[in-house]
Amino acid sequence: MNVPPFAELGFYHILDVTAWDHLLFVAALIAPFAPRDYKLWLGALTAFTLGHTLAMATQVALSLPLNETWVEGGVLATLVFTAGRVVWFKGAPKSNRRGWLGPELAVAAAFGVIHGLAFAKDLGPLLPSNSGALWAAWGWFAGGIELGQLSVVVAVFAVRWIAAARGFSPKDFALALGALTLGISLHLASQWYLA
Amino acid sequence: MHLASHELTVGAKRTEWVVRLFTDDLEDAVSASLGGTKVRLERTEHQGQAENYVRSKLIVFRGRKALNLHIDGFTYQPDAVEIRMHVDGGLPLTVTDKLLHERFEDQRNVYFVRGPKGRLDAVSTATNPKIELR
Repeated sequence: MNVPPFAELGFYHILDVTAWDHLLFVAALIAPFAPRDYKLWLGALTAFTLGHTLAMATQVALSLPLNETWVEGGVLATLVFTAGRVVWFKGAPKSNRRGWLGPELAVAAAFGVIHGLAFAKDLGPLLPSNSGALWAAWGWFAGGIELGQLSVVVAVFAVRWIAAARGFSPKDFALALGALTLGISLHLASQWYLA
Repeated sequence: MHLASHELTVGAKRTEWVVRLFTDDLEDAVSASLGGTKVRLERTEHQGQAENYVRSKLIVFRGRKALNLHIDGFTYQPDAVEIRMHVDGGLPLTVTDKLLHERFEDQRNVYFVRGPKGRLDAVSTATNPKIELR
């Protein structure tokens, strides 16, 4: 099967082992959730994808004069916040609703905007000027991002299931995953700050 | 993954062609093609070398007839370069695109083609560099 290249690009943009930010973000975001909470985590991931794609499209179209250092720092801040929130609430961030809308969704969309602004400079120069082709490229890219995120979700839920089979409670698993992602995020943030 | 993009607008008498490549990727490829000479694409003489490189890696046919790829302009940006070209006539075209494939195994050259019957998008890869546009 011939995978559209922008879908492939979106997919590997998430699963890029040389740039951990998306992997960590998705892992930390879904750490407190069980598969049955799909409305919450799927809504948050989709909000992230939409925020990411719309921010990239806007930045490519308008070339806003952004400070690259601040944008990259913002990406790291989203990681630290998302992972830190899991640790702060000891693996069980408070949530008093079961619907599609909620703080996770809004935060994920806002964080998607920051991540999208950071990546716009890497993809923008290659995009076509023809509007039909441009929309198709954005559509495939967003689809690739969503699939990449779902792959991370499947992997995290698989590890969660193995951990549960070995006696870890869901809360302990979330706390361990949150602590791990927070530790790596703080390490990345310190490297960025020193650089 | 390494990417480059082509945007073709097909007319009856002429096909406008814009290729966009990341500057560092193209500098790397042109430098290797020149035996390791350092290449800076903001320099006009190196832009000529880059155009020669692009011509050598893009082979265009209509049927059995090889077409001349005319270069109309070169725009340098620190991130990416844009080379504007054209070939005479419209479809069909057969393109063998080996741009950057010798440098990067994961290179994908994406074609956004606006033809008389709508869009004809395609991808050239190292293992499948040939594009048929009909």
